[in-house]
This record gives sequence, structure tokens and C-alpha cells, in this order.
Amino acid sequence: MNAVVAGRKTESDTVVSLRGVTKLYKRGSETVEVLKRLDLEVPRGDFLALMGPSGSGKTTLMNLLGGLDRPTSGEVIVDGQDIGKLSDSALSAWRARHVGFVFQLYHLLPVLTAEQNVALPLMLTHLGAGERKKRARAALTLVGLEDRAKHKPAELSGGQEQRVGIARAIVTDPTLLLCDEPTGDLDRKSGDEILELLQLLNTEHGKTIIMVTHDPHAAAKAQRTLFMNKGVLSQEPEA
Amino acid sequence: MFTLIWMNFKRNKGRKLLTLLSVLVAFLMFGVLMAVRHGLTFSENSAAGARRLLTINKVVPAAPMPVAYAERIAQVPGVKAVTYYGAMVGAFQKFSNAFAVVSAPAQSLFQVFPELYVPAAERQSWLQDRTGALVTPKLMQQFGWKVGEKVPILTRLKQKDGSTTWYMTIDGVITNRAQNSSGAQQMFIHYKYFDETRAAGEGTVNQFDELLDTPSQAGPVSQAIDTLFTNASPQTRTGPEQAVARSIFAQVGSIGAIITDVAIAVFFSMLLIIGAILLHSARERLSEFALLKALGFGSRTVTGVVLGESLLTCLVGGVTGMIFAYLLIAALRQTVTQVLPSFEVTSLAIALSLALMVLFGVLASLLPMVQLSRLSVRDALGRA
Repeated sequence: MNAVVAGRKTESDTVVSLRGVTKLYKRGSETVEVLKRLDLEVPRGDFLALMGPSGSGKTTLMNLLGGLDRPTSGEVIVDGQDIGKLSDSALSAWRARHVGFVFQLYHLLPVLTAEQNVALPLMLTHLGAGERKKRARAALTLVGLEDRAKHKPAELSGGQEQRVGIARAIVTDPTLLLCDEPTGDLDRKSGDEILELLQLLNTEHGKTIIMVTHDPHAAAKAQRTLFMNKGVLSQEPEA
Repeated sequence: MFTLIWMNFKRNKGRKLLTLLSVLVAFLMFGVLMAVRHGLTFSENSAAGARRLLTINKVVPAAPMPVAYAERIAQVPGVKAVTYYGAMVGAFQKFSNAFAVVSAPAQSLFQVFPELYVPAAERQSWLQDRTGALVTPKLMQQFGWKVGEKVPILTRLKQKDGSTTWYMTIDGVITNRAQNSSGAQQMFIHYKYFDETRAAGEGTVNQFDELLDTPSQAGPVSQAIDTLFTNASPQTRTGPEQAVARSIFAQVGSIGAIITDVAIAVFFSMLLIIGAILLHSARERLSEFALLKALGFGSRTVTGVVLGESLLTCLVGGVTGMIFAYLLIAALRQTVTQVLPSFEVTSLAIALSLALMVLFGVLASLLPMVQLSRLSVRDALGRA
């Protein structure tokens, strides 16, 4: 068993807990073991960077943590809930309440303005239109884009698009922020701004963040880094 | 969700415009075809309409039959009254101003067609005037005729003196109270004068119309009339007005069925086009739909966006198409009124078109919805 206990706090402060998680994929007639009996604990308020080569299982792990996929075996417990046992519809509702996604390619809807994109997750709440707008504005202000609220993604720079993506991820005040290569498509300056923003969300607003990255410079901004190789987590990169 | 549907509806304006145009044209055709179909199959709403039969030449519908048949038809049990007419094409000043000249015996004409209305004084005047004519309001207006005026009517039918110009006196205006006859271009003259004056075809008519005692007798009376002339030449074909009209059209290949087939073909093509466009559009946006799912939107919401977009496309294009059909039919009604007196958009056609818009909206979105319901968020987001 490959176990990495990343937490340094008490059990009640643990946001993410993976217990013996294995994930198998079928590729034609072959079965590939992408994750191998992983154990992981992430305390509340942590900023964890996950590094590793392509195909090592980082994104698969993120998909499991975000409820976009289910483990073949083992438990994925987020904020006390074993999400692997939820039905599809319950898992959708759970994602809306507990997870904010930040993607490498931003994934903003091109037909919506920045404000509408940010307000999108709030459409799943019982908030009225006025309140949704107010909260979207507040999130945009937090990422420094209040003056770009009415702009569509095509009218924004890559860095600005990613800020909108982050605003969308935090607008519902989720338990967990999952960032998949958030600076992978940006130049260094814009990337640094995004990383500083994530640090701010972590330190000032107490957000628990798990970030997948290939970039050691980005990983250095996190509180700590774990390495994944061939489906196994470790505290040190493989030599 | 409506925001998403509306915003997606407005994207890619060029493609959307072409899609809407294809739907618009399809429903424009549908509206016009339905109006033509209605015009072909419509029977008068008057009570007498259900009680009337008509008799035509069995072999060639417009070919002449002996007027003497009328007396024998009148003796068939169940026949209350018989009238008949001979017809020719007339024109005023030039042959492009053509209209129908119907020659009928005055008394029986009004007996069999009680819905024909002529003011009493004008009717009396016509009954006493051998060369008199009754004309529809449209003709009066079109040629600026006045009651009492004598007008030369150009025809291709020679009179006994060799002339083809018939001089008729306008004795009054005739209207049909059972249906909108504002566009009808007809002149009614006395059959006796017509028959005595023409150089050829004396003693023949083009059609008999019978008023029955009760509608329930239509079948046996029709059969009895045709049996009368089984061994005569020409033989006859008798039936309710609508049925006979349909049988005439059946001879040239069932126009109604052809119209239906064309409409089905048009809609099937439209459905394929919209379905293909929606499928293509949905494929282009798989990552967007995957994002919605990742954010927590359920499959129903995501497929609902596609369904909503498809319905909106069909409704906007379809309603616009039906409006254009209505305007086109209104513009053409005057021109085709004699061939299709009930050429109009009916409430049934409107209801049917709305049902079809919804049906096609749903059907066209089925494939994309199935595709989206099977969408793997993980794969779709990774592919973008």
C-alpha cells in the first residue's frame, strides 16, 4: 500500500480522505491500473500541489476528488461524505455545493459575459437573480475583474479568462478548489498572477486547494507538494 | 436555463439564419399546401350543400350531356329539384380579362342553390330579360359595370350569326351567402338564350345539380340516376358535390395524396437538416456541456438546453413561415378563387403546424440529447 498522509491536523479538520483507492481503466482488451491503492489525507486550509509526468494518474485523482469519476475500489471521502456511494444525480448536486473547478483551458461559455459565467453555478441554488448577480460581482471583484463583468471571454486575455474561471470556482464558496494546470496555458507573468491569487484565496480566505501542475515554479507556491508516478503517491519525486 | 437556451440560440448567426430559413420555407410550403388541399376538399357549409348531388359526364367530366336528361333525373324518387348549366369562357375588352359565363335555367337555379342571393328587384328584372345577366361583385368592380348597362362579352363560342361577341345586359349583382364569394368572377345568363343563340352544341349541358329531399338518400339516388343512363351515351357519374369533385381529381392522380406526400417529403428533409445541424452544433460544444455537468447541472438540464434550442428554432422559423404563408395565400386568394374557392389558412392547419413544430423540435433534438446523456465529463473536458 502506498500511503501519504499529508495532514498535520486533527481528523475533524480533514477535508479529503482517500482510503485504498484503486482505479482501473479498460484500454481495448487491456486493463490499466491508473491509481494503485492510494491513501491520502488533506487537511482543511491546505494548498497541495500534485506533480508528476503525463499519464501518472494526477488528472484521474483530481476527477475522483471532484466527483467526476468513481473509484474501482476504495473510499473517496470529502468533508465527511463518501462520494463514491452517491447516485449520479446526488453526485451532481454534491459537486455544485462542495467543489470549485479551475481548468487549464478555462472552459468559459463563449456566449455568456464574464459575470454570467461566474453566476452560472449559482443557477443551481435557490438564490434570486439579483442576489446571483451581486455574488458574481463580488467574486469578480475578488479576482480584480469587476470592470470586465460585461465582457465576453473572446474580449479577455488568457490571464483574465483564468481569473473569471477562478471567480466561477469560488462563487459558491465550495469546500474544495480543484485546479488542473491552472497556469499551463498562460505566460509566466499571467501565471504568477494566477498563482498569487490562489495563494491569497488559501491564506486570506482559508480555501483548501489541490492543484495539479507540471511546473515546479507553480508547485513552489503551494504549501507542499506530492509527487505521483505510475499511480503511486510519494513525498519525493522519483529519481 | 432559458438564458442558456437564448444565448446559444443567438450564437453562430449565419448558420442559425440558414437553419431558420429552411424551417421557414418548409412551413411556408406546408401552409400553402394545406390551403390548396383545403380548397380541393372543402364542401359548402350550407345545409343545402349536404343535400345536393351533381351529375357529370362519366368519361370526360366537362363534356356535354343532353339537357333532356334533366327530365328523367327529376323523376327519380328523392330528387326534389334539378338544375343544369352550360358554361363558356367570356372576357371583357380583351381575352386576358377572362371570367366564367354560366348559363342556367333561372327558376331551378335558385331552387337548387338557395344560398345564391340577388336583390328582389334585380332578380325580377333578370327573370324578364332574355339577354340579361347577373354578375358577381368582383366583376362589377373590376370592369366598372353598372346595373342596366349593356356590355359586349368576347367568347370563343360562335353564335348562329357567326359572331363570337355576346351582348348582355347587366340586370343585377349575385352573391353567395354560404361562402365568401368576394373574389368570384362569374356571370350568370339564361340557359334558354344561351342554347338558342349558340351555333353548335344545342340541347346539351355540362352538369346537372340535384337537390334531394333528405341527405340520407344521397347514395341510392346517385345510383338510381346513373342507372338511368347505363345504356345511354354518354353515361353519367353522380354523387355528392365533394365526392364527385374528389373523383375528378382522382383521375389525374389524387392531388390530395400528392400534396400530402410532398408535405411529408418536405418535412422529412427539414427534420434531417435540422437534426444534422443540431448534432453538429452539439458536437462542437461537447466541452461546454461537459462543463455544465462538472459544475453540477444534471443531465436533464443539459439535454434540456439542446431540446429548448431545437424547439425555439422550429417555433421561430415555423411561426414566421406560417405568417408568410398566410400573407401569400391572402395575396393569391383573389386569383385562384374560382379554382379553389376556399383557399385559406384554416385553424386546423395552424393547430397542425404548431403541433408539427413541437414534434420536429423534439425529434430533431433526439440524437444530440442521446449523445449528451452518454457524455463523459472526464473525456469531454480532457478533449477540449
